[in-house]
Amino acid sequence: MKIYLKNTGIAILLLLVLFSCNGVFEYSPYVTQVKGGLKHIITRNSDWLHKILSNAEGDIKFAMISDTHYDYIELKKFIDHVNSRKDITFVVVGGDIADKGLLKEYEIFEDVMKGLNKPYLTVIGNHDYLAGGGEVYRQMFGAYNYSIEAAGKKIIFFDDVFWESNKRPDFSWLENELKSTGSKKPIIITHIPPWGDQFSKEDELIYANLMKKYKVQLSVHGHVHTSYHGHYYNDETSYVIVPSMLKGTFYEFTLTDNLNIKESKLQ
Amino acid sequence: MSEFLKKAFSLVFVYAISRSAFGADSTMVRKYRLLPRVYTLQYAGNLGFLSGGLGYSLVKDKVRVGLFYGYVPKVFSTKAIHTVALKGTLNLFKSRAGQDKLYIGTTLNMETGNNSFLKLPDKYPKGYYKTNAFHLTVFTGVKSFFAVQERKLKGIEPYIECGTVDSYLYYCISERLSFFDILSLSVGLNLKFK
Repeated sequence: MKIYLKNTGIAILLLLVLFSCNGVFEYSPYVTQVKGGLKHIITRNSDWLHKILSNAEGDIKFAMISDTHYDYIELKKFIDHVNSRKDITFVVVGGDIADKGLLKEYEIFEDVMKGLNKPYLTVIGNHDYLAGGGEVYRQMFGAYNYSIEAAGKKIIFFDDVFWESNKRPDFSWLENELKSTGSKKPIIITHIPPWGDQFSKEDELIYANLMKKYKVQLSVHGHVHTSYHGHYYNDETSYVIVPSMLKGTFYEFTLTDNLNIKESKLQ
Repeated sequence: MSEFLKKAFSLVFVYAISRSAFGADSTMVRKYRLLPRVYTLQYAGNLGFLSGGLGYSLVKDKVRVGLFYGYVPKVFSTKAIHTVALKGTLNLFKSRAGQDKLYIGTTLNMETGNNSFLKLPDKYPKGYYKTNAFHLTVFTGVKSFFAVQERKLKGIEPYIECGTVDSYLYYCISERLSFFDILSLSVGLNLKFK
């Protein structure tokens, strides 16, 4: 009996130690509760970016990757490259940050992105909505639709996921945002291109007409995994599709009057 | 779906416990031979905040299989999570006295309702996603048996397990992540009945 008491005592002590550790026990892959330190990344990073931009001289350039899914090795390569590039001010990730929408995937992504010495901003992708992913994204990154100002341009991040989000994209929000742009030339970043699989013909028309009406300079997307750059609807708006991270490719956008767009390959 | 499973499972659980607790004489034991003999309560381990299981011990107690239901209340996630799981373990080594055992095991978990589905909803084109309602976990654990001098109860068996989920393991290996990022612990208690 004595030995049992001793054993139980040790076991209880061990348990107490373990309970005090954070993240040692996991309840389910579908849990959506984001840890405090990982919250509100968009707000934090746009504040950071704002600070950088207020001291910046010369042209502002940003790099964009998309559809990282779980290709963390390529992502690390990209981070190493961008860290050594003084001319790139910030990074945009074009959605599909997670693959199955699991909290763990978001946590690993954030852990890898911590290595980046520049602010980054994100837009939500269809995979990010799977499982409890929509909620994880909201807690970890912030609003699905938002905009920032950089180098005299307004960059609008717009959630255009139809199926996984179980809602229609908020086109009226987008229109209001475009209306209030003023003299700044707008750039729109969404995950799915208007000719992508989740857009119906009517929705495609709504989007393309908005671009035409407000003379949007550039509309950037991901989702398709292959690269594209051109005037898809033969109007003023140029469309870019940033390929998936696995392809080892990213785009560089220089925010000058005419916008300089360049596709780069990682070594 | 999960609501139904939850109800069905709790009914079986209550029934089985009452049988074991009150159906004490030997003829009853024979009569209810098919009843589960191992009752488990577990904390964490990707089965839920708390999970309960009914199980059988097979091959001279070397193998255990059980059906589990686990629950994560809203306070730990935005929405409550219900998990139904099959759990199997296999003993590898035991201590000289035979009380302590090292084992490996796996669970097959199913969860629907948090934008996870068994069958792809109609709005998606065929083959757009595979089902995301299932997850496999693998783990290794140690358990210690403490005999109890009770008519029906053979003994209790606290255990501690360390494991991970299939997707995490895949990312860890293919993307060369640290194992410490994906491992998690669980603790539990088996009640073994005669």
